[in-house]
Amino acid sequence: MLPLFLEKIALVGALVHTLEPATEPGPAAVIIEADRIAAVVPPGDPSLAGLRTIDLSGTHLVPGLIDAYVNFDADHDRLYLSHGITLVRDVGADLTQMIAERDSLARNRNPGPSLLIAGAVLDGPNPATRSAIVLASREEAVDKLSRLLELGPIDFFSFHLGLPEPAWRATIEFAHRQQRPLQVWGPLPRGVSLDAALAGRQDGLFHLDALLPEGRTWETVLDSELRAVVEKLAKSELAVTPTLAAYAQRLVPPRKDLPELAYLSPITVAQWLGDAAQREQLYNKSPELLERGIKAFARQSALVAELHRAGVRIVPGSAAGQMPWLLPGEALVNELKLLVRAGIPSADVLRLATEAGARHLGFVEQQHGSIRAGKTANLVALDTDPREDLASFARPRQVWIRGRGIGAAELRTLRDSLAQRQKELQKLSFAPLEIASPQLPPGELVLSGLCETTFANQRLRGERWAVVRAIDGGLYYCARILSFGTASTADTLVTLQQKVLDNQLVELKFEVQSGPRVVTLEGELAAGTLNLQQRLNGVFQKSVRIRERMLFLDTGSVTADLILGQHGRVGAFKALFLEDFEPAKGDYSLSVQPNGERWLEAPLGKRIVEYAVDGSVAKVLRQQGNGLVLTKGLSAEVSGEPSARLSNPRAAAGAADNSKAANPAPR
Amino acid sequence: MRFSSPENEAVALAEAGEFAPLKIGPLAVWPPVVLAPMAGVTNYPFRSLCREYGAGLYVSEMITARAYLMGHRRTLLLASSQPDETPRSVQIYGTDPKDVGEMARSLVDEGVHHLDMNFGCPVPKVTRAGGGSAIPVKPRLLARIVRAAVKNAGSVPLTIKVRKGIDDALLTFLDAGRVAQEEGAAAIGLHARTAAQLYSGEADWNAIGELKSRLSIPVLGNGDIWESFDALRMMRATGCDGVIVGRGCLGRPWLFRELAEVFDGREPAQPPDLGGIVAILKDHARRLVAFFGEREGLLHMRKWCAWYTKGFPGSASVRDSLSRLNTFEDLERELARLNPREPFPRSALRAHRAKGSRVQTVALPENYLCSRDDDTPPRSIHSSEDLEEWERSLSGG
Ligand SMILES: Cc1cc2nc3c(=O)[nH]c(=O)nc-3n(C[C@H](O)[C@H](O)[C@H](O)COP(=O)(O)O)c2cc1C
Repeated sequence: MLPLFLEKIALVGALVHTLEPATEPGPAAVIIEADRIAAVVPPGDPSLAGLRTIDLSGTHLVPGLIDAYVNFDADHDRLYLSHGITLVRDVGADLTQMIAERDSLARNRNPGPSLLIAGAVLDGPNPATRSAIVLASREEAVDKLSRLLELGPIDFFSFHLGLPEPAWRATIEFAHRQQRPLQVWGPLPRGVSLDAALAGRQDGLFHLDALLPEGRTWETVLDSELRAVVEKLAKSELAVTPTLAAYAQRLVPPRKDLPELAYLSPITVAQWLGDAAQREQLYNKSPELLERGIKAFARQSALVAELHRAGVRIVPGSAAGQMPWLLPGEALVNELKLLVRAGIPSADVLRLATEAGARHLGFVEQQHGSIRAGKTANLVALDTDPREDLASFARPRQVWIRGRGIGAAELRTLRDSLAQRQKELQKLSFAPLEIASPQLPPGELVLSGLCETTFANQRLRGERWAVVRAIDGGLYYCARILSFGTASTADTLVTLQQKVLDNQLVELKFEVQSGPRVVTLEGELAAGTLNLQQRLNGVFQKSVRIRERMLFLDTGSVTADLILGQHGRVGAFKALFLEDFEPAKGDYSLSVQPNGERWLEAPLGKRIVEYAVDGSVAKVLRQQGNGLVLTKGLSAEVSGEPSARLSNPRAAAGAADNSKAANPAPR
Repeated sequence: MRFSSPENEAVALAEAGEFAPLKIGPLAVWPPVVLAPMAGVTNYPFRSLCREYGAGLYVSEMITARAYLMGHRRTLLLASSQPDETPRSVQIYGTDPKDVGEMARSLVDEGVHHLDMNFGCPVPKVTRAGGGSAIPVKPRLLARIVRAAVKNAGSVPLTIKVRKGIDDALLTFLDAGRVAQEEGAAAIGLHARTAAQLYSGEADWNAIGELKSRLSIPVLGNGDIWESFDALRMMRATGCDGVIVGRGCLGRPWLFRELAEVFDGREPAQPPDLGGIVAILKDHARRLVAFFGEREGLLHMRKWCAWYTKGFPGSASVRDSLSRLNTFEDLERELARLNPREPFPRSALRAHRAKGSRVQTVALPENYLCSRDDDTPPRSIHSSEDLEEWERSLSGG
């Protein structure tokens, strides 16, 4: 790190591009106090007397860049800073994680760029991602959004195209009505035309595709149609994040030997390489696709330039973290270069990614985007003039993040240690699993084992589980689940114990440590009602009463699948699952294949379960994105009296088809 | 003639090969000397000054994990270093395995070479909350914290520093040593006093020998090394692998030169006279001002002036005004009044610096002793206000 100062410091000697309206770059000193810009003064100003100084002679001092479209990942923090990006806007992920991350104290930990969050992405029924918040109707939108804002500061709303039109409308009205009005960004919701979006006052659009008239492609769209779109937008306040770099990266062969891959998590690298292989196949089979992509890109570039000329708000964003082969940090610098190549002058592009960007994102401009007294001290010192060359953002001399200076050498160290961690993670994936056994309730241990869950050959979590037969004949399914952290986040541990009696969940103990929080959910069946108590860090939060029969709690633990093998019956049933640690009742549907496999439809997606004869789970397959998450039984051990053993789910398969479960019980 | 107090007049210099470099993980430290972590003292300016006199490992003052993770500016400053400092060593203070692990990881990413952990802090505010020297009372909790730190430190060696115990009735150092060894600590340092003793009385070097005899990891002896010869005596008497030097170097950074000399088998040079000390003092002041800024740097300087001039009969008249310094000019003006030819007084060699001879009854959380087998971390600070107050109340171990 550059020296830290408790007192004011002055950055002197640089040519300062404040990006404030109607000012030209010129020699100036920038005074920083704590995490803010205290003043911008002429060189030699009396107020500089006695201040400590940092000499930035020969550099250009500019506000840090804004990447208005990323999928946040703490692993990427150092990569953004290394490209002069000091503010990133996450378009929606895991709600609680994002709220915790947004805290500037959390941001200072490693340190990372300032963060704007949407919390979770909004979507309609059958959401595209697990962490989405489903708004099915107008009423639900208002209700859930109010609760969302109570959870913590949200900076804007972001939605998927499945958001139903009434909920979309309600979201915009709700967002604009807030004391600090929030923007609403997304693609065009299904069934909403561009005209409707303009009339409905959506604030921003992701990706240029949203601008294509209905039924048109980039090949068939007429110039006159695009001109009409430009004219329409020019009269509106709608902002557009074009993501040219995201389109462009599809048109060059992926650089599989890219040294920067070392900074990414093993899972990300596996996904990217998978994508590269798929793409190679596709282009080999239909080379004309590439040709068409290149032509489309020419039109997209031309359109962006037209939009800019017409005064449409363009807010650069990279889509890093969302699409493969967009390296966080580098992707935004590429985006800026592509905007220049499309015909927008460098000086304009710099403004779009700083001052104008902040302004077009609403209240963000109060803190970011320019070098002005009172704003956050997020600055970048470059070796070349960004009005002529934006590429030097890829190797800034110094980056100031909330008043803390980081030099090029320190950035390099931070990146190197990130690469080192990723390497270690990769090794760890093949090390033996070390998980202590879960605590066992009273009763007879009948089966225990170990399984691991992998994605793209990388281990996501390991689970040690056990089944205990209680005196009353009920079965306890217990587990300790260790989810592996990333280079930037710690491992998390979940402990779970579910008791099933008469094919019904009668007792539950669940504890998860997630970040600074320990959430517990605990309870029993009494008088036909499952009474669950939720605690946060040991403090009682609320009770949840569930009157319907539930079969299990479904959290990704294999205990649910073990229960399914013993007590699951073909057809529909209900079970609990967690929505942001809140228990929710879910509709499940089970079918049994002739080979004994169970196919399960669940609120969080489909899965296929295969059992061993001892009742243990041999394999569970789930789909996630375009990959498969695989849970594999590594070992299982039968113990106790033969009479107490679990039934064979494979033998039960045939029987289940005839509705004669091995463990018949009244419903 | 040797310049020492009577008990050290006949101490033999180290023979070639008598002592080995101190092995802390991959680090080999020669001479086997560690500058004790001292709150308000072992910041980068003082470490850099000591380093110019001698060699060894120079540990930062204790850095509270919570404050560090919350990006508290002053804490980050105190934890910071400069590229010229290798090996770079930071002492972590924390009670929550998660925080401690996260901090270790982040320091490793910044390129730290050695991490130490403080389990000896006797400050009532700390022990009453179940931290500092109260932690080894619960060996399983200690184990959890050390495990988290070791795991996240990866290839960077982690050591722990403890006291003998809470008081004579509750000694914890042997348990702590076992835990340190089992959990993969690279060494353990023992300040051979109990928390109840604070800094009073004499350190019990026998305890260091006892700990050494039980462990295979290196043991660092700490307590009452005022003169370089004390280090030789301690290592010979206890068999420990290295020494930690605390108060002895306050206002006497050349102690590290003397330590290097005696370990290399050479008779140490004479200490500087008051003129020489004034030059060192100004150098130290400049370093503090460069690091903390003038206001804060000179505030720091007030206590250093008392330590540098300790025992000089002629300094009494200026000591008072030195304790009210505000500017560098104040400092120069007052120092000019001293007689530069006044020799270093022998009586100042073992004169205690910082911390008096108080003892205390150690404050522990209620019912603390009833749950020694428990491994739940005590509640740590969460708000920025609590943090400010915490940082103000600390004065180390
Ligand atoms: C002013 C002062 C601050 C201290 N701060 C710390 C500290 O931050 N961490 C720690 O482990 N010990 C701390 N200590 C204890 C010393 O590291 C050392 O164990 C103690 O002074 C005994 O060694 P000595 O007799 O050589 O001084 C501090 C001691 C003093 C005098």
